[in-house]
Amino acid sequence: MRNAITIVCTVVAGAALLFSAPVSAHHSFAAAYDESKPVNLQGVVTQVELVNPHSWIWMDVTQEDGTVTNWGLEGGPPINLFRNGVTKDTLPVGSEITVFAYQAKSGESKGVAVFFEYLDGRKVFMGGSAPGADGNPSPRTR
Amino acid sequence: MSLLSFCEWLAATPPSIALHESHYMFLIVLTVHVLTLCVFVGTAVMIDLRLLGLTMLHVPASEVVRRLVPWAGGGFLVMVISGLLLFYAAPVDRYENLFFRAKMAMLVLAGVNAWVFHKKVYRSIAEWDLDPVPPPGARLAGGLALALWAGLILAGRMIPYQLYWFG
Repeated sequence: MRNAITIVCTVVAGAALLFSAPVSAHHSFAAAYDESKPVNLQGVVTQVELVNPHSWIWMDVTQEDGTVTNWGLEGGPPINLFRNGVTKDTLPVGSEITVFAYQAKSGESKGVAVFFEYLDGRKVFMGGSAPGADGNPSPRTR
Repeated sequence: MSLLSFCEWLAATPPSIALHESHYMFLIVLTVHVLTLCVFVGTAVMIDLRLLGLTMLHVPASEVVRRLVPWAGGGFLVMVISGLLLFYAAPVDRYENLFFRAKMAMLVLAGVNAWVFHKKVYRSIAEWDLDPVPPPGARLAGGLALALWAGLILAGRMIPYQLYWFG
């Protein structure tokens, strides 16, 4: 009887783990950002916060009507960006970059970035909670 | 000096910035905080359940306390030290965080609860040490502690979400 209970508990716990893994991989993403609101932003970096637990890149984006909006773009922890080559020296304030991100559910000018691109075409993954931000081309199949 | 300006001063000290921007140290401290939280709350819950008369009914309450308090105390100490370091990494963010404030308020209440239990209820332990279900005062202290620690953990886990919901 004891053994039967142990086996049932192990199977249930294992199944729970299997199903929870893909959910937990995205949970902070789903709480704040909207996968149906992808945005492409081109602008000038105004601030680089390589801080724990999550980094932020701030940039001024000029709209078609000439108005400027300051966007905040979330990435992974500093170590993830460092491994991808991002430091305050390689991404100084004033850099011109293009960012692909998902916008905040609240609709404000914030997003979680998948990657950014320098003008010369070098692409850097942001290592955060956005689908694909770790460079995996097919996040949905994880 | 207001609390906010103190936090601003703290945030500008070099070790605070180094910890906030660190590659590994912040993550190590965060891990230590969660692991020692498990040691502390894991053992404290067993004490609280004994006070509620829900487990180890035939072990004297004083023996449960005596055996588990060193583990709970040790876990609490390292948990608080790592928690202070996590606060030190981002003092202004924490100061402005509603969940962090709620967490600190519950920490104070949990401290008062433990102090009252120790000063009032535990004094008379000889009278109810062998009772499977301790007197109402002890049950109240155990129940309050369980609720407060659960609330504390919940508020702690919610701290990063303030940014998204009230930022």
